Amino acid sequence: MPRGTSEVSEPMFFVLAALRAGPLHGHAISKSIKELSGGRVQPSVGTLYGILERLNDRGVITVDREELINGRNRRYFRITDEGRALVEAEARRMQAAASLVLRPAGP
Amino acid sequence: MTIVKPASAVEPPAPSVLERRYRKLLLAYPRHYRTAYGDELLDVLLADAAGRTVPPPKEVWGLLLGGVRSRILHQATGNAWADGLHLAVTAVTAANLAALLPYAGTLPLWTLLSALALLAVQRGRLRTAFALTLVTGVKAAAIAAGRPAFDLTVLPVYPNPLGDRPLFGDSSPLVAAAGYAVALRDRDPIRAPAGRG
Repeated sequence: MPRGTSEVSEPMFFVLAALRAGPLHGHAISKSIKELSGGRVQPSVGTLYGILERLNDRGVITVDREELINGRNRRYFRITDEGRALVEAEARRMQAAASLVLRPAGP
Repeated sequence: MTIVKPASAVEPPAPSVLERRYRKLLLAYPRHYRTAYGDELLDVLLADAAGRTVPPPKEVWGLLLGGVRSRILHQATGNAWADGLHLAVTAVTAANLAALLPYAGTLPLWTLLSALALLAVQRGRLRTAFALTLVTGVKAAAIAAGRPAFDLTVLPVYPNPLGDRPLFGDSSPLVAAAGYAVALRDRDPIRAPAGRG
């Protein structure tokens, strides 16, 4: 289970969603979030890495590997099982909330 | 986690104006963070830079806040007992200084030493604080006992513009001595995690 608060902010949700398909490095996560949210969610690099570190501390993502590109070290992050469970639970929560408005809850 | 290095590692090109500006902003982060991840952040920052020479305000803000956040998290990794004790000693030293302040005009040197002791405690330099507290403590106790120590100040010490009560006119010198004793007991240096930041 993730440590600490189980609150999932919107950028956090998109980071987890982006990583479901496979490990990504910081820049790729940034681009993926922007695409998945239709351009709406575009955290700054500082904010994004703060989110990545928080998610890493909570154990919902982890560092998959590091690579040297052009002399610079680059981390790839991947989602963990706890992360998958968290983002799926969050998605279901949002779906239930959304259906109150978009579709009346039926039998 | 594995580290994968490509067959040929290419030297990075000379830093552009934008990169130098971003590196200055990265100073907001603690040194150990910059060493470990600074280049990685720079990579992402420069990736969509395309001809800019000035960082956009959103990125500036993000780096400053991210740096402060990193520094706060770094500070919080110390031993909780050590931090609590440090806080208590700081409080006692501040109270001792506060007791002396109204008499700063008459006892300027000792008030100064007491202030320096507080400063030393706050900065974690407890050996210095111990020495200063010892000296000012002896002085305070000497005044309380009515014996001259180090110079000719004897009770009562009369106040000056900053206060209107004689020193130890109301409180007991034992209280001041007890305060110094608490500060002196905590003689082990309490340092922030060394070598980082």
